[in-house]
Amino acid sequence: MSKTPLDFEKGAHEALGSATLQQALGKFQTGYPLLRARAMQSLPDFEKVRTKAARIKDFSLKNLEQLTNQYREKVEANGGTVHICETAEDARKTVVEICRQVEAKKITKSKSMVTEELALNDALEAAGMEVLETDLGEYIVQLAGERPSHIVGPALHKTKEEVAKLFKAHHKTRRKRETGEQLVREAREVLREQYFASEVGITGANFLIAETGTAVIVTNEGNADLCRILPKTHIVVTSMEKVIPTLDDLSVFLRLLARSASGQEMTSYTTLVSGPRGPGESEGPTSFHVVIVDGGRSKLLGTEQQALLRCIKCGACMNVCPVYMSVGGHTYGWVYPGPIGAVLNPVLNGFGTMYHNYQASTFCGACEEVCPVKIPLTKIMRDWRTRAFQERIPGLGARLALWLWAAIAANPFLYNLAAGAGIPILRALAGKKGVLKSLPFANGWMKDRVLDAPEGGRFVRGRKR
Amino acid sequence: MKTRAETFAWNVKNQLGKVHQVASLEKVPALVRRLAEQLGLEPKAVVAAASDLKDINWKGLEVEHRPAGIEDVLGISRAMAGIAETGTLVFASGKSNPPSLNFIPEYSIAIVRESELVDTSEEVWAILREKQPFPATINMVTGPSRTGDIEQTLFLGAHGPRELHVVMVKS
Repeated sequence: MSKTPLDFEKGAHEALGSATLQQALGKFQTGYPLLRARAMQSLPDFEKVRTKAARIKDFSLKNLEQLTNQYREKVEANGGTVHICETAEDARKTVVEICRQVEAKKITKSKSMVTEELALNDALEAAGMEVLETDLGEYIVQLAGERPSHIVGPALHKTKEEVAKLFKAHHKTRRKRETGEQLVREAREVLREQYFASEVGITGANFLIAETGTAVIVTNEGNADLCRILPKTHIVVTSMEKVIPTLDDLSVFLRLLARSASGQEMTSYTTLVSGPRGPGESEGPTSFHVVIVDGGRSKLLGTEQQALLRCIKCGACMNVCPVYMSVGGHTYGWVYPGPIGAVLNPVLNGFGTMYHNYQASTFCGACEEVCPVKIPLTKIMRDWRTRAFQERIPGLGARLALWLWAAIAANPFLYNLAAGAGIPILRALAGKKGVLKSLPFANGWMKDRVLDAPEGGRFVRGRKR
Repeated sequence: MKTRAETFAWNVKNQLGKVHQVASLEKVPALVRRLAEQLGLEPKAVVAAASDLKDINWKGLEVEHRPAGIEDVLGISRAMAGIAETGTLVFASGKSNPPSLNFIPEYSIAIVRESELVDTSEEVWAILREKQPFPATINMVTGPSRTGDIEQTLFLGAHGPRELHVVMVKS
């Protein structure tokens, strides 16, 4: 993915002006909390379970090397191969090489955010292979030549009509494309043959279990399973922080994941794969690979922000985030949108280029309230702001303004003086009517607002008397 | 208090699966014939080669014991367990249990004995740990295949089955 500095502000303006995006986000904003609340009714001790989940992740991160080794030994004993890749480049090369060795022409793939990080499809296509995304949302964004705008619902931003148009252009068949049902059916039929025709299936993994050498894949559509069962080679591409110790630990996370992600008690399919097809089995891959990517994550190990690696990529934080709900996923400019993206993208894709990610927050803390592994998102956002200031990432003007603000805010005399000066200025700007329709430096904010001019003095001074 | 079987059945329905209860395995063929008729399907199915499914008389149904192919519309699979907490069926891959039966046919019938029901997934892991070797593929199935990827509207039958019929066998 690109490393160019991102124009968050421009993206946000476009997103705010897009009627279809705003409509989709509006629908999501009302739909998700209801679904989540309903699913949480059957998990009354959410707080206890998520505390346990956070603890399991912290333990796993502390013992990551040992658990990863255990996972690897188990997979190898089961007849599979584990590749540990430090950089995105290593991981791309590894996957391309495996595909080359089995002379893959066609690859079916189920949704994986880690492969988005790697821009894996581009690498495979450059090597002359055809890659087909099979998750419906991911398939739609692939046809559109776009990126996912949400980690769980990649095509959240697309209308039915836009999907119909894409299908018409790419499938080149005449058929009815009026209802969502017809579109789902069409994708099912088109992709069905592709699973049978592909030499390699690529999936992600939500968890890796050290105890048994098992990768866990969670979906609703069943596409990952077809990618697993039908091609002769199965490659799991995932990241290093997915390792947990035991199957019992998995149970804890399964109680949290679907409830947090989509407001379901369980997703339709949770699949545990531990190697190639077993002895006597007539189905399943004959060759099985797991590619585990670091991609910058190990920089967080042992730091104050290590809790970021607890993330199970459920998307709950973005689903309740007022910033995400206004600007959508694409504005964040890299793989992970919303609060988790705001703090993770800077680590994985460059602290300076992702500067706006951790600036765009209201600090309402809604993300932390729903996070199933209790990541202190707002604290880490503040940490990144501090670090950015120290590393002189904001421009000189911005830094001077911040410095000036800090100097005034820390000094009661100066602060009172400055705040007191605001009153006559606002009053003068409001004129005779006593109403403000615009403000210097805040025209965007004032676009849909009017403000009454202040009357009387300041509250603090009034109280002193 | 609901019994374990009641909780399981309730959760399967809650996840948009359909529940059928029969007294014994011998009653399954008649149920399948009736379902096929209701759904407007030919009376034929691909069936897991689990020993107890091979032994019954599938009279009136054309039955083949093999993995599912692209042309198969009705699949009958044999779960090793059912989890009451979530209405989840658990399938372990093996010689007689090809995973494709649960994913390729548009209509899926899964058979589980009430004695095989457990309360939580932790109990399933305990059973699985006894299996040597550990199954290459374990499928936990909770309701039919679904997607919300078109305008956040729920549609069933995305890539897997659009209908999941769970047959609970009493004895």
